[in-house]
Amino acid sequence: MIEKLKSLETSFKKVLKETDTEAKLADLKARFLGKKGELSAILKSLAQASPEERKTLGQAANEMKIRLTGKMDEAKGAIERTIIDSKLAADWIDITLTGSQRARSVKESGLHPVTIVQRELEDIFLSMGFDILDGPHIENDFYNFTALNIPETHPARDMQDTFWFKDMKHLLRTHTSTIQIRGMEEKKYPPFKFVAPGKVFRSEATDASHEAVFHQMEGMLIGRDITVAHLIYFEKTLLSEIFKRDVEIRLRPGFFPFVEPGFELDIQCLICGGKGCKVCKQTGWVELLPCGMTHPNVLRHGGIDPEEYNGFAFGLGLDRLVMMRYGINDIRLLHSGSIDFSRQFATC
Amino acid sequence: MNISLDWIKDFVDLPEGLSDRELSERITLGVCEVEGYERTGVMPGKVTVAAVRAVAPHPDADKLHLATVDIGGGNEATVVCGAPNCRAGIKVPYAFLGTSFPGGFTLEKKKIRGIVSEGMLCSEQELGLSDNHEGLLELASDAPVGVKLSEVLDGAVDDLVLDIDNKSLTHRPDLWGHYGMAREFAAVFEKPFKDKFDTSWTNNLKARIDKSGAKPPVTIHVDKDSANRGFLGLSVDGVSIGESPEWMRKRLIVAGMRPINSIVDISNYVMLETGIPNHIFDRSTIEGGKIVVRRAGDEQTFVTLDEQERKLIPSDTLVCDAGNPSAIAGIMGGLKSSVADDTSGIMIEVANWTDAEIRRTSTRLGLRTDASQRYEKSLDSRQLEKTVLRIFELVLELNPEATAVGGIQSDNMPDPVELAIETSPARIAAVLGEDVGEKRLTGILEALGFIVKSIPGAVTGTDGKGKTHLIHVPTWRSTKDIECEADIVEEIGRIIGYDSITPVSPAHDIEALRLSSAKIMTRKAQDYMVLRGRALEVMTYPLVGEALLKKASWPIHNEGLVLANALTSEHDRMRPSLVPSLLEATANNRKEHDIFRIFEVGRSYVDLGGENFSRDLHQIGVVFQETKTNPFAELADTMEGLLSYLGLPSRMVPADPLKGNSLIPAAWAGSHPHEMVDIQVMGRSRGVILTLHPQVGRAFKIKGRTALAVLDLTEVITAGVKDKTVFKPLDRFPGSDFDITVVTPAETYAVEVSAVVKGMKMKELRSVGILDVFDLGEEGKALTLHIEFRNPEKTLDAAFIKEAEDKVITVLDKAGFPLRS
Ligand SMILES: [Zn+2]
Repeated sequence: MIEKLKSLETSFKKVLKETDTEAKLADLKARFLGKKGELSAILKSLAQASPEERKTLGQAANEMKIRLTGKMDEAKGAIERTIIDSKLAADWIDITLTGSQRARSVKESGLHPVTIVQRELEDIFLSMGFDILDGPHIENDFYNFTALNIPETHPARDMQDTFWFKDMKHLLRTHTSTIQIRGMEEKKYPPFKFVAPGKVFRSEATDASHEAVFHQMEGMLIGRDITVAHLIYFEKTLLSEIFKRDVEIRLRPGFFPFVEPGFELDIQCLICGGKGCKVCKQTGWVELLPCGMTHPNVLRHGGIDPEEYNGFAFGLGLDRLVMMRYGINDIRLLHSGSIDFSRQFATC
Repeated sequence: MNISLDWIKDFVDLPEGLSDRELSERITLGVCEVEGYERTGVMPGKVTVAAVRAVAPHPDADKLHLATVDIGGGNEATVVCGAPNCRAGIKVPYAFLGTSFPGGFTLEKKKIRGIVSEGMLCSEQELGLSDNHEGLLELASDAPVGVKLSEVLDGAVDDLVLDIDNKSLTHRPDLWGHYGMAREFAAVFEKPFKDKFDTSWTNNLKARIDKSGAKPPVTIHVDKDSANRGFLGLSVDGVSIGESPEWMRKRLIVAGMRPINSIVDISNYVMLETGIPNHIFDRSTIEGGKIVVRRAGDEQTFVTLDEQERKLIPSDTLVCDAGNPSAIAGIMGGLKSSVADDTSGIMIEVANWTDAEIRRTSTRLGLRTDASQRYEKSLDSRQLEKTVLRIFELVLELNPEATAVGGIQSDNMPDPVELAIETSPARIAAVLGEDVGEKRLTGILEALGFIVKSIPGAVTGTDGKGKTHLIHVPTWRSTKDIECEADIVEEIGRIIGYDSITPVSPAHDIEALRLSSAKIMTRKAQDYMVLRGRALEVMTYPLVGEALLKKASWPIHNEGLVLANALTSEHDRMRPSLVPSLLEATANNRKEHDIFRIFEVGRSYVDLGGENFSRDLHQIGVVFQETKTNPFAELADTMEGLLSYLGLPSRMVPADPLKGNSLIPAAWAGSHPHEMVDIQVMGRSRGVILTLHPQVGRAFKIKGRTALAVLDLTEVITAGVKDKTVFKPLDRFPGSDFDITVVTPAETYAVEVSAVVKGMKMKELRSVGILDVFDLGEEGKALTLHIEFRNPEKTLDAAFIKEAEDKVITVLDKAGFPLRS
């Protein structure tokens, strides 16, 4: 009897191998496991066997039935999958054909590079506790000049630098330093610190490195007992974060009416590491930003008592950082409105 | 401006062993920007006297020779040389390998036509002595072989020339001459300043003038209301004109001026030394024996030395004689002002003028001279006498027989303003973050010409803010630069060097900070336009011109916001709207691309007139450009999504192009007759979406279909938006969907139909949406609405659903939208 069971299982496996459709599978089930199938026949013949024999054989037959059923379920799943897969084959698509591979990538989208760099700087400043402020492009004499300690006779007021409106009282801001005063007026009570990114305007003939409209970012920190030592520490921290590496900086005298002492801040040339190269004109240093201790007259104009508080201010040339970052060779592209330009930066 | 180190050394002994780079860097860090530096002479010790022993032809080159030269010390060298005068017996300058030449090149070992040249024989040009490069410089036959060239040749003085960035001297009138600059060198390198022009020097020269006793041949008359700040004249007789001495010529050349004759050269030399411009008159040209300084008044024109006729305005100041003007004050003299060769009587004029007036006139005339650029820095009138005396000294040096006639003449000389500033070492240390101590502080200030006195009885006090010292500012610094205590801080800081200050972190105050609501909204809008709007961010010029506005048929020209000094008529005013700029950008991009989407977060400007003048508007402009499909619907979808993402409650209302809206002028030619939507945000018109009228599209040569939108965020951006979302529990009971198709006239807005259903105010009505629109031709269109009923408390029963559906059908039918059969 045991032999019969074994040979049944052998022939089941043999037939199963050739079972590749749902119909054949049904036949297989009927032939081996059906009511009139081969297993039933064997079990029926068990009636004549001894009780012990019945017990062992019955157990063996049951175990075999479970095994065979399992195999059949497996085969069933495989057959179904083959059928589905053959249908899926009809829906073939080219999975390599993504937007970037298309000849006319219609809906490329992305931010302007000035936005990208400006946001990055804003986030750095925010992390250092600087509020981010804004102000009007069209300004008056007071905010752009007088309040910043730039007197009536100062060359900075000359026609060749400043866009004046016909009333000769209003102008297009020539620097974001206007926000020094507006910021002090808004904040009122030191300590405070803020930056102001935005467009500025200079009446200047344009070429690849000069624009009449460009971007700056002004910064100011006012508190008690602020020192030049603080300014140096702050700028070094800031610039190391901007350039994502430790930078060496140096201050040298620079003249800006709204700061005293005023500095030109140089960073050690990132190209040659200070040895001297074309970029740094062999000096090892690159002029990066003007800064200084806020002039007492400026504090007064902003409503702050210079005997009680002081602080520092600085200006970043945003466009220059953008151009350095991406190797842009013509500043005029920034305001060109060109999609061929904009599409090159972090598009999606 | 060029500064000669040789000249500086007249006034200060510099420390030994400083490299050129080190020296330039210390001046850059402490005083002003050295843009470059150059050696004029030859590197000391590298060029020596050599004797040519023999000359043989070069085997491979016709024009070259091989010279065997004795270079001293028993050594010989073979040098390849191409000079025609190279011959045995002459003595010439010999440069060793490694010599750096004034032109910037360094002599290196290399083969010339196959033969290694062991050094180089030099011409005058190669040594930077002159432009002569016709042959080798032949030295005196008795010149000792092997010694430094500088020992046998006067002209070969080794000098370092610093190129100073004039901009970094804007606030320093005292640094426009070597004398003032030398004082800075002395302070920076902590060496004594040798003031050649001290009291005994002054007294000696004055004594020689006073001896004359005669009546002055020229008198000075200065109008008090002119731009004059001091005018001195000194007549000198017995002056002959010739070539100035070699040393003077050399220094003038180094400073970038051309030697002309002894009188002009002295004038220029002294300007480069004391920093004060001056003029030497040929006295025979001064009519009536008098000089009058006055405003131009009726004088309309003046011909300057460069033979240009200059237009004057009444407020210009002129220097005149009894008859005619002889110079535009502080800027340039006239045709008569040059000194003739047979002059013997001269008058030395040294004057000072109001900085702003000189700058204004020179800017207006487009005439910037060595004199005007110094005067506009606000010079110190106290330096005038020194300058007269120095000129007189040099005139005497070149004309030992010359004599002053009459004393130094002047009229209406202003009194100098004395300035003293109170401070304390502690106060200065408190700003620098570095305490240099009282002794060093005093030392630095005194080296710079300040006088430091302690205030009797004054104490620093517990707060450290007491002012204990009085600092008297030298007159050459108080005209413009030094005004207050902060200026004194700078003097100390720059001389000790900011590098010597140890960086310290400012104390940190704990505070919570986030981006302003305006920033957050701007960033969200940009992100949305990129990620969902699938548009590229661009920037366009905030300035536009009338031509562009006309091309866009834009009726508002912002006449009140026109610039007085525009660079071009294309950008001569502030834009009244983003629309023309965006159309221009679209047109430019359309040349290369037919489908694209752009947006700009930018400003337009309202001409308010009067006191308020103008207002900046913060806006977003968007353009969707397509070839055939109408981009309007997608743009409208995008704008609706943007407003929702920004949390701004909004409504889109079809608008009448003839009436326009808050952003589009009434009957603007660019508005499509039917496709225009007014965006109402928080109850007010703040945006627009429209299809560009093809006629305006044609004006810009924009082919295809263009939809544009502008959203004004000026008011909402600063107000900020509160997130008012409230969670609703999820539905527990199923709802019932119902689709219904009705017939409407072709030009009925679908929202009007859905509004009818919404208006039923049935509490189980959850939503009404438009599922499909189908064109029925003449019959109008078929509109399928998708309606959802739901009761949060229970499952809707069949009877209710039937009744509700019937009600909807009835209401729509009554409204004129019958069920489609
Ligand atoms: Zn470098």
